[in-house]
Amino acid sequence: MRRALWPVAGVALVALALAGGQPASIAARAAGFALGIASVVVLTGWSGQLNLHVAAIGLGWGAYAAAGLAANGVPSLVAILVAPFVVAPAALLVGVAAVRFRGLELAIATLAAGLAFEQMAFQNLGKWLARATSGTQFQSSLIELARPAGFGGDRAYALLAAIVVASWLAGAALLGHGRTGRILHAVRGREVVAEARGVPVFWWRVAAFVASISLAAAGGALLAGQTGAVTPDSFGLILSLQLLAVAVLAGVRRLEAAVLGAGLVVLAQEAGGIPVLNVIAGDRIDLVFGVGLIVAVWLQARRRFESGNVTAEAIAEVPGAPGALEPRAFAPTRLRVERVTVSFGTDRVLDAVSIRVGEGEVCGLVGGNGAGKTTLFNCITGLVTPAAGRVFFAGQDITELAPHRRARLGIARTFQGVELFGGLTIVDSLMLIAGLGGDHDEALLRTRAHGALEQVGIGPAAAFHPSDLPLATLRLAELATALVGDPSLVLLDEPLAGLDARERTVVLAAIARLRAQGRSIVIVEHDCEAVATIADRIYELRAGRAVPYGRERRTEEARVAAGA
Amino acid sequence: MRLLVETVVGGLFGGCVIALLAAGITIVHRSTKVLNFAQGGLATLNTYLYFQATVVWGWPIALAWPAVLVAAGFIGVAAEALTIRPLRRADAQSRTIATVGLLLVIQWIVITAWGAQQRFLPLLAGGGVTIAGVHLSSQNLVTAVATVAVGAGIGIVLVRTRFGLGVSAAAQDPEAARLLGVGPARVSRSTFALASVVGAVAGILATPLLVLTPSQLTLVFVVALGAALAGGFESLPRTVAAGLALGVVQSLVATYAPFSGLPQAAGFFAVLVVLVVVRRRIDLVELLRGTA
Repeated sequence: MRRALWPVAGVALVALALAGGQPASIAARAAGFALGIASVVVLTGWSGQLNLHVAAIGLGWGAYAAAGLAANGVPSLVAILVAPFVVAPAALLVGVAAVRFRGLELAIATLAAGLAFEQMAFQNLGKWLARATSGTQFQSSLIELARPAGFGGDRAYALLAAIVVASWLAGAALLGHGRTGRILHAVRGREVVAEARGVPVFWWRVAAFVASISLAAAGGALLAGQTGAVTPDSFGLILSLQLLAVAVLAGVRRLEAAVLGAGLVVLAQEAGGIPVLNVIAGDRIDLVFGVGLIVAVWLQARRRFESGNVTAEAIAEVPGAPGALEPRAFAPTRLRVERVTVSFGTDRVLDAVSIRVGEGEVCGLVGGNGAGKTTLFNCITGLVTPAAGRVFFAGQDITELAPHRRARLGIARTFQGVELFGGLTIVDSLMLIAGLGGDHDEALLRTRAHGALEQVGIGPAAAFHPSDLPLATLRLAELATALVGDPSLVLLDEPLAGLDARERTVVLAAIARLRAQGRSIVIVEHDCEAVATIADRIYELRAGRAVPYGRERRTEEARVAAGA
Repeated sequence: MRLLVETVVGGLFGGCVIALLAAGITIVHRSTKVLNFAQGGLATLNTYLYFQATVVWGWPIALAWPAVLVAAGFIGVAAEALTIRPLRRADAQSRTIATVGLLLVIQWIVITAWGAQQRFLPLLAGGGVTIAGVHLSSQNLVTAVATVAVGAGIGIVLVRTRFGLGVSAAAQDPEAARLLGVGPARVSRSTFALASVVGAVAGILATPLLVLTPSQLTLVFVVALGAALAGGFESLPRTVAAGLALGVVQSLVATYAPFSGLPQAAGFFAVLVVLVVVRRRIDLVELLRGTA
């Protein structure tokens, strides 16, 4: 059904174009709007960011770039085609600035920036270009953009628009498929997790911005060529809100929304003369889109609520319990943390903490709440940079390395609680992580993902979403994510929390198996007894310092025994 | 020097309207976590109602004011019932997006009922006074007095009444507020009503000095967002102060840097500056709290 949409839309577009006249101009406009909506899909639906004024920062940029190029002697055809690439550097700058903002702040930032453009840049650009081209002091901000030579007629221009929209949508589809699609999904869902697992989140968000603005700019250039002129008020705030509304209405997570949404927009604009359909025409477009947006949000919220209640019976047994561990006489150092100090304000969380973990060793970190266990983890994975001290991994100083670079060196971690990528199935999450090493072979990635799940004994859970699985299975799935990237150091953040005795045995067995494979493991855990069954060494964090666990307690007991 | 004083004073008066809209945004956001994008739209709709009452029907101001404010309260309640109530189980982000839908619906109502052409509202009060060589128009003085009155009124309701305390408590802890007898539905409904009334006051005061169009107040709303942001969507005094400051910035730019389009864009640039400053401060706060 969804696949069928593309050929149907393509045929409809070409048919309208070939009909010439009014239908052809409708087709050309639909192409422009489709790219505007695709821009919303890429930015909001895929990367989880929001541009509230895509009509200005997007369509408007493209239109003005095309008109500006044409006014400076570039042939119209070239101007319309290259406009989206001309604005790409500016989009990059905006992206780098914008990704520092999140959620509502980003919404406000794009709104304010878009309106500032509308009020100032577009007005003045128009006047300046009009003066440059006509040589007069005529104070109008309207710029003409002639139809390209050979594409002057409505039919020819609509066919050109069809080709342009098809190429850009194909490009967007490539971005949303396979590895890049999964990475964008991860960036949207759990950015800290993504970063810790090797995704340079910052640059992916910037890339989504650039792609989104370029898509909209391509659409804006098409619209400008269709109208034959650009004015500042053709890219107002209401158009932005309409495009956003129609994208959400048509399903903002999928590129098909571009086709459906453009159809809706054009229908609403053109339905005035058609009986029955004319109830949604003309000014009522705001009513239809406004109500549609509210209903769409309502439906989505309801669906999410209902799916939250579904739980699947998918817990699996892992054969075997942790056997007696081979004690290691001497293991070469894999991780060394040297006198690391971290302060938050006046609060010194870690005070010259040093720990050492050998190859194939399990190291336990215990300590009360707020003792700094997670902060020490964050220092090792790079989410926190220490104020003093160094972190060495496999002999290399990694103190200053970005989190995703460390992940590629072979450091993997799990998170307190379960942090699998929300909207992906378990196997897709694992494929995403496995693919970060640079492998693109889908079949190979799938094999490795399934292999990791088999190793921890939850092969049957592969096709489930995290929200549908019980906690113990998710903990094992987290362990599997640590395995799939083939790391040499695995950091486990409270892998036993909330599990019952039988489930603990299962998870401990899986950890013991990682150790047997020669991986180094650091476990943060409240339950010292459980950790003691598999750990080669245990440090206790207390008041910001790391003390080899047991020694202090023995000293204390000795003192009590001596009657002190 | 007199020009500077007049510019700053004029900016303060203009800032009153920004401050009122920002207060409406803050009241709704801090107790429901919804950023009400329809705030400017509600103000627009209410202002058109006032236009209908005074200009079309010729009601006296003394009758039109209370009538429109009461109507505004009901419009706020209706808007909440149509957008927020059905989404009570959804997260704040979904509800925020729904207010964009509400804005589009209001846009349609206004254009359908009154058309897109410019309308004008008569001044509430003509004339003015001159103090130390600075002319203060009566309209502006009325605006300032009304802003102070509304601001003080909101403050008293929120701090002095049991219900207001409940609304404030809902911002911190919805469950505790429920125990105080203030349910989330009631908080949501009444804050929307209050925001709609405040929006009506802002629109009716500001419009005689501007023109009335379906989108004018939505543009002011964006600047008000900057003020609400500066107040952290939390503190009303900071929000109002930031609103006044933004008004002064706009006024200064219009007087001293009247380049093409810049006065219109100045408010938006100021919002971007506020964003950057707030971002810095949040980073610092997070660092101090140890969550960075």
